[in-house]
Amino acid sequence: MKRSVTAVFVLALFLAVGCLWAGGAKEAAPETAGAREGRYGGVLRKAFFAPTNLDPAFLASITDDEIARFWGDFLVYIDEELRPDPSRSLAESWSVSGDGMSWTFNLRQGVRFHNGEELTSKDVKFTFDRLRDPGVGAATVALFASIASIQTPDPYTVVFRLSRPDPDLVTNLGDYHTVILWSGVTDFQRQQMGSGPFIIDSYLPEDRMTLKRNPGYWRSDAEGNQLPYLDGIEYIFLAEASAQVEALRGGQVHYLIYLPAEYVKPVEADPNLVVYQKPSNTHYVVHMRSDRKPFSDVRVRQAFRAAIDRKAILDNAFEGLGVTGRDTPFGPAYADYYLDIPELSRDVARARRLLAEAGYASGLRVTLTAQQASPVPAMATILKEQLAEAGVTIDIQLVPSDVYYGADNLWLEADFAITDWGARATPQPYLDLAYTCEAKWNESHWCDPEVDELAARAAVESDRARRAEIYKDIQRIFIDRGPILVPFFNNSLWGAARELKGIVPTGYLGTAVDLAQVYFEK
Amino acid sequence: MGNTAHPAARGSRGTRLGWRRLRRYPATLAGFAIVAFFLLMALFGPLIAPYKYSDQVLSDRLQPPSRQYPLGTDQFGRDVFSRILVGSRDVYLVAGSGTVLAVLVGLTLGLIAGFFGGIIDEIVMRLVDVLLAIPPLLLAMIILFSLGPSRLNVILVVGFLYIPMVSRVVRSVVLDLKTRQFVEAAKLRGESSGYIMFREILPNVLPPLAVEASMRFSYAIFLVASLGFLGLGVQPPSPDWGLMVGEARNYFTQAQWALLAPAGAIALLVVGVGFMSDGLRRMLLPGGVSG
Repeated sequence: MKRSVTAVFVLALFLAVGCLWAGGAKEAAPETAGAREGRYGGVLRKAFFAPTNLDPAFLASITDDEIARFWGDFLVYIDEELRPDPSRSLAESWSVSGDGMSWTFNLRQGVRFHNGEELTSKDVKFTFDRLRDPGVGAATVALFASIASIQTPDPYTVVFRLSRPDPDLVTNLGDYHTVILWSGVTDFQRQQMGSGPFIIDSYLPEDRMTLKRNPGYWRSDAEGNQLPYLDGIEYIFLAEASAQVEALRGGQVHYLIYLPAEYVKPVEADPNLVVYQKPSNTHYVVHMRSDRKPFSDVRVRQAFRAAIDRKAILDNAFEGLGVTGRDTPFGPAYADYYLDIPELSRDVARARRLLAEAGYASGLRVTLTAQQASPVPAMATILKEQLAEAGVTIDIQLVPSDVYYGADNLWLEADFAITDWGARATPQPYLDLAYTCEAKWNESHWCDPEVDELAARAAVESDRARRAEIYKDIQRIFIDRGPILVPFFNNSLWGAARELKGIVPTGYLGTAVDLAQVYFEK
Repeated sequence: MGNTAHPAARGSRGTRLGWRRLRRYPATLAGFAIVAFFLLMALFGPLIAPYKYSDQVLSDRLQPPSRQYPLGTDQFGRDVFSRILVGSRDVYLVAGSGTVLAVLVGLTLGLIAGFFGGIIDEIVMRLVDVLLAIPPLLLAMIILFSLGPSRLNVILVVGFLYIPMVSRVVRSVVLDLKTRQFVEAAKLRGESSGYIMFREILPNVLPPLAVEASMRFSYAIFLVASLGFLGLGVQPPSPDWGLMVGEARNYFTQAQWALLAPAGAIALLVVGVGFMSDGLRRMLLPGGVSG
């Protein structure tokens, strides 16, 4: 499987020459080999919010993640179905030792950074050592807690030695922060020195970024044509979702990551545009802070759970584009890990009874803190009406998203608030990040020793069936006494010009599609 | 009493004269009519509204205007017409209270600064200048970010923002009046500062103040709507018109009525108050501010 960049180049050159030789005959028979030659060319214009950070260790927003995927590659590429895909990974293959304590990754040879340096095990070690260094303080430190050391026996072999077995190691190594950086990088904000399909050409903060095709990119399509097909990308930063959609509808841009649900109908109705959808584990958590009144009383949490109509929230806040939740962070995307029970039904009388037992027979008043980003205000407005029927008065407090997640960490403080959670490759991170006693992002301040114990067991359980049983026990606890409402898991949504082809929607976290294989149909 | 020399004594004659002039200005009449219409809506809207403003009929989302829903429904199936009716109460309450607050404080500051002059005038006017130097919407956003959005805070912000304008107008009128003979006479009679300020000067400040207040009210309506639109004002599900425009914005391609109706209501009322303000000026200040 060893393939050098030169080989790809020579192959591409041959095909190009062959194409020229054959002339019009090739065009007349588009299904023959070499038909994909015609995919080359064109600059993709796209619009979205401006990035918040360009340093891979501190990527936070969808834009941050998407830009990093333009200029970088991953040791392990998580594909559209949340599985590791060796064909798009910098590691060609990997294996684990019998005791589960040592993982060996074999690197692809001949991959070059944009500056011409070859990508070797030294760079992989450099990248991951930085991401797990508490001194750097990236969000990934906990994610890589199981790694004891990283060894590089030769330039194309990386060995991860673990302190405990970690069945999720491979998917964790594909986390979106793990863009492999050239080990010579010193200024992480300014040097985007990766090996990815596109090279940053110019960047005007808050305005736009232009990227050009990486002529030495290592990936190729099924016919051996070098990727990417596009000549470049022009990324325009627009701070307003409606402006982004109008730019798409007006033809100023070709592609929109993260289409708001309320625009699906108008975009679908436009003959020049296509909407792409993919079920995902993306969900909105309505947390009930469990360490103080009123939600410290489990009956209040149960009452809220009984009072809401999840289907109505999905249909009206997200146009029905998704599946209803069961008040756990586990969605049907996790297949056998998912506890498949019927939809929780609404029971206002039960909610009133539970509230009365908890001492709120005469009603209860709670402030709901909600970000000003679709569909959160709509969810808040519907929740208010539904809970009103159970005698709960909700005061909605809307705040901009950057205030909600800002320096004061309002989202970790508020009693009752709506937080958006992206789709992880495995469910374990949700537990470790938000639902165990000491979790860094335990926004509901919930501490259930049984969940802690089960989560710790699941983290090291290599047998999938046994692990699934543990996860199902955890979900039963959430449904019985958990601290959150999860009204729905929403589909990820994209909008694109009809002539843009090769878009494969993904169920993964940042919803960034693989733009290296996207092309304009001529 | 020197009161017979009062320009204010011309008030009733002046007003009658004003009404006669008014008839020549249909725009002013229209202004008064619009303001009165929305005021009636504010008072009786909740009684005549066909639906409760917060009632969601989720099966009737984004319905176009019909006999059942005169102005259509929004994305939660709420009746837009009922929401606009009830929302006018919020407009009068929030923008009106804010304006009253600004007028009361601005009047006091302007009277004191204008009458006493000297160092007091310097201090008050320089503070006013500082406030005027900051763009109002920006200042409003900063204050609301720190106080948190609520109806009371929006009223406070509107009041605070318009104090400088009101106090400057009052001060300039007071400076002019101070040199008039009836004030000089009162001083010679040995009247106290308080008497001169409130009995001699204040009545003459009221006509220009009324004009200024009506202008501030129209600005306040717009500011409250802007803050609502930005989500910094009154919180959902309140039928604040600006908030309604903000909520309907993402659905514009599917339900234009949900955006156009509240936007039209804002525009109509702002224009109406503007016409009314013009008319008040003609009625109360026939010869300009110093008349």
